[in-house]
Amino acid sequence: MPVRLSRWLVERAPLAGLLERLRAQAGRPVPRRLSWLYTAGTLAAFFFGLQFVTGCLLLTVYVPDEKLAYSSVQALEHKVPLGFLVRQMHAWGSSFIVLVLGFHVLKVLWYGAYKRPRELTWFAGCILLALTLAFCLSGYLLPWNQLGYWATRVSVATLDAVPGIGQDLKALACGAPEVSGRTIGRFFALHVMILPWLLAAFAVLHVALVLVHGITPKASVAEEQELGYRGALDLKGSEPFFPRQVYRELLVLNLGFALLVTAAVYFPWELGEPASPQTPQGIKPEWYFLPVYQFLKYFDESLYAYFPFLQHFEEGLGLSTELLGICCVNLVALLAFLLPVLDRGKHRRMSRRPIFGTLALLVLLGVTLLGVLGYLSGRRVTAFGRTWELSFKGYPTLLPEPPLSPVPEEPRRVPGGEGLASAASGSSGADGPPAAGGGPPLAVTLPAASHRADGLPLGGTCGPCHEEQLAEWQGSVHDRNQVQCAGCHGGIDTAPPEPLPEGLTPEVYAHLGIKQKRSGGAARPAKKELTGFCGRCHEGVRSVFAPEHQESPPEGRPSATCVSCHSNHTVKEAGDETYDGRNAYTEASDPRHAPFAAARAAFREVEVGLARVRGRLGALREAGYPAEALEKEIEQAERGLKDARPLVHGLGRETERLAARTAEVRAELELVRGDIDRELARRDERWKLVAGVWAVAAALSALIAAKLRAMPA
Amino acid sequence: MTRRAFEHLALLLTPLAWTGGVLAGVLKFMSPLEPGRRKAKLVVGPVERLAGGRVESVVFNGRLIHVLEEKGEVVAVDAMCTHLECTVSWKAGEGCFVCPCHGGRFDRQGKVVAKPPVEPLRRQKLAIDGGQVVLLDEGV
Ligand code: FES
Repeated sequence: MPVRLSRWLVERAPLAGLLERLRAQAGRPVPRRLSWLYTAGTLAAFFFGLQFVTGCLLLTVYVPDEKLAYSSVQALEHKVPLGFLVRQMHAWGSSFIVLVLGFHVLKVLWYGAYKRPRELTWFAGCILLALTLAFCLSGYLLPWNQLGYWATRVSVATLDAVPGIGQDLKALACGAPEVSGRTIGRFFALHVMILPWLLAAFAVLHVALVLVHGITPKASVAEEQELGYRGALDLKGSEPFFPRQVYRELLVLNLGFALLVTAAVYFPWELGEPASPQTPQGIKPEWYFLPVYQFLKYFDESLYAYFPFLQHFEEGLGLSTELLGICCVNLVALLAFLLPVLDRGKHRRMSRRPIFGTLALLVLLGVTLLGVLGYLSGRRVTAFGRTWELSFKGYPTLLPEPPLSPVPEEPRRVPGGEGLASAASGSSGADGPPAAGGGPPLAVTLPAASHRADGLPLGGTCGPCHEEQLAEWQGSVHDRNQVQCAGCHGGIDTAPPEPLPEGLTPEVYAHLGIKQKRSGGAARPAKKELTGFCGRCHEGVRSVFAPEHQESPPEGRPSATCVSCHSNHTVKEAGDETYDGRNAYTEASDPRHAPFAAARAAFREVEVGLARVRGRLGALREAGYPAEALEKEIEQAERGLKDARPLVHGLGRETERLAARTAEVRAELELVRGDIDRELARRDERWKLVAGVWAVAAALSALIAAKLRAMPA
Repeated sequence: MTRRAFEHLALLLTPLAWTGGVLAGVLKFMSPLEPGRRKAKLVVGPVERLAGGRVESVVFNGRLIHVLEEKGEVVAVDAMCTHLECTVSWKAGEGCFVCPCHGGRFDRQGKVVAKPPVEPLRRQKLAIDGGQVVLLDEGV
């Protein structure tokens, strides 16, 4: 059966023939001792292959929609297993390809490989390079983040300069007058469907032409023409493509892959904020577009000062400086494309091409300088011990020296905020128990505002007469939560109507609805009514309020009302401050002490847990993790604790419920903490991935290097 | 090891290693996401709401659950049909749960009354807490 199957296969698929052809290709002669630069083409092809694989994976999660694009990339980065690596490898892959193609082009220029008969190979290569840049541009927008959005907007806006049809061209590219949600669809289609097919077609053409014409020999064009390819090769010596060149390519491929993974893990491209109509500071295109970006900056009105005749161009031909800049860039690209037509010299050795060599070097230096200036423009640079600020166009300005001993600024303290600040700062510090005593407050205490929304001072119309009470109230938990005098006491604290109805004075108007004393003044709530008075709002407390507090206190113990612990106008928040208050049940001999102490310990445990989880969350957020969902869960736990607090007033009657509620909150927090810790651990372990890749790459490279060394020179 | 074998090893290992590595990465990437945290319980409402044969439907941890009272006992059944996973709905006129895909039918207890399904509807664990029907997740 296996024999029959293999015969069946061999008849239909001439594998042996294919293998034979492959062997013949591998054995084809190439110039002897090729430069390492000759590996760049294969490396670029390898990176393109990786882009295809990572791109396909990204497609399984990415959503090309204005509302979902950003969050889908966020999910990739933080939720999908290895999603961050795939996205970062894809993002870095584009840079690696451009870099490797840069080396490839340098090699072609240096060895004169674009010359006859390889002109078509050069043209196809140029188109491939342009397609690669189009890939980069279209892919940059897709995450729909600020950087991509604004970089694309700026790039696309250059189309405006095209006279007559600029606006239409831009609208065609964007699907709207500006880059918008619709542009995502267009760029997406371009990036994942149109460009890949075009790239594949031109790559096949490029490689086919390379196979047809062979790798450029070191002989001159004339010699190749005269002797033919084989003859030209023999002139300077040749060797088969396999094994040396194949091993070299494998070696470079190993290192390239390891470098890509390292860059992806250790130098991730920040996703940043989602796209918004506000341009962020320091927006710049990707590094390979920086030279063009910087070059175009010089084409503005200031050009007229140096070249006044340009003004006539603008007036006569409608050729603005901006358009002139774009024309220049395109002209350079066109000249580069037509290089084989323009440079028809017969020599390939650089030493025999001094004019081309000088020109190419100048262009290269210019491009590099523009790129560096593009990167540095708008930044501060320290050089020669001084700090310089580079303007938008890259002109440096020396900054004055800073004073020798700057006066440190006093940090501003937020009342009650220290505990939270320390709890939220970093993971290590926050993981320990909070400092004894104060405990972590659950919310930052904000300074009270001095005026209400209706424009009246705090306390409304009550303040001027009840100054003392107002002063007590200020800063209280009621103040912080905007519960004003009338909120508890009733009455009307807004400005009286004008004119007042007959028989009413402003004072009477303000006290309308407040219980009167027999003697005429407004009555304070009686002690026995206090539970009901406060309980109108604090229903959760009133419903569990044990009679032992007030109605039937333990023998020999004083009765207690709400104000005994929480104070009167200076209402204290539930927590340590209240428990340690003068009237709280602090004496152990008081039968009401034990349930209070137990509840306090239970709440304390939850508070500690909350502070820890918040600290861990802070560390995760610093790593760029979208923590909204976890934040909500923590807030829910906080609400759980807040809802459980009133049960303390049950004095032992609510022990079970209180234990159950706090246990529920603790369990909730444990789950959140587990999630956070898992995520943090996952991040901490990324180095293992890099180490593994380098170990394999190093071992394989050593094996190949040994093989290369063993080869005869 | 012969020289030739060594050559082959060096030649084959690089593509093999990286293809293997990339494939392992692809598999890891494609592995299902960790499911979101499940809720331990869901309060459906007071038992009285089920009076008169009423059927309450709620979504609990991503599943449609029908809650009803049958012979004095509160019953919660998973709406997923045991035939091929469509969801059944309550047809008051016919007094049974009907599956729209192949016409399977189940009584108020979830027992099969008309094929093709063979297994009864899955029961959902519940508790009555202070007069409230509370669905409980067994896994949590
Ligand atoms: S899926 Fe319900 S009857 Fe087939």
